[in-house]
Amino acid sequence: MNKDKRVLIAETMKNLQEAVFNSNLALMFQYEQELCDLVGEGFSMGFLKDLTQANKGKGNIVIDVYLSKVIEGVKKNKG
Amino acid sequence: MSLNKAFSEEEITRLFSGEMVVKNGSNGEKIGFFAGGSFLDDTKIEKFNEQLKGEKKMSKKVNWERINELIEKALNDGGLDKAEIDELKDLLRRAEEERKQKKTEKESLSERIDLSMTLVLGKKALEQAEKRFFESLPLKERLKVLKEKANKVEKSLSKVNAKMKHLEKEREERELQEFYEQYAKKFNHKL
Repeated sequence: MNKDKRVLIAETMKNLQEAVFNSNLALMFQYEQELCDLVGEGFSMGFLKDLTQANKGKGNIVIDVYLSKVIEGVKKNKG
Repeated sequence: MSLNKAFSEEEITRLFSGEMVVKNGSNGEKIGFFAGGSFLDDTKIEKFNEQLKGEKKMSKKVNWERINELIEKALNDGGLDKAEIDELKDLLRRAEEERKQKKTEKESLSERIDLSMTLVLGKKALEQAEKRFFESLPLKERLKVLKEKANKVEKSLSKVNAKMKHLEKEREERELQEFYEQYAKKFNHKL
């Protein structure tokens, strides 16, 4: 059972990653919501933050223009 | 040993006529036969049946002489027809089984070499006979045989493919789990 859950979560993470890399905003929002439902906001936002930091400045418009600002906003709000 | 040898004619007559059936004193249920001074219950009868089966098996002993005849015909005497090819195939299969079963038996070295050589030669003869037979067939029949062979190969390939797909799925699942574990640890997520 846990194995199935782990696989399902990982698949959603991979899908989210793919949507970000393909700059597909609609799918990105969809998978982020699904991931959030599966593992909670902390995990899903943490995953997006890691993804953003690892790929910042590499020419991906969603990461550079959108996600970087969102992650900065989260940081500021926390601060 | 057979039933005939184990009992006298009279005993067998009594046994099979059922005239000496022994019944359980309390419930009247049949518990066996009493024949010629021996009590035979189901276990003993079962044992004799097994012995009979064993004798039948022994009678199907592989005919090595026939194998040699067929080898000779296949290699030096114009080849074999379909029935003979099937016969040789069956004889070789049984001969191999017999060799495996008799591995523990004491045989002289020359005897062992002779039989092994016959088996090897038999396989070669069978191969050659099948080839000759195939070549003697009209084109339409040849295509039919080839199609059957192709179907067999296709079947075994699809089995291999299914196994490969299964292994691939397992590998993917393992990788996905590892991917999850890596982040689960970082974000302290437990299922």
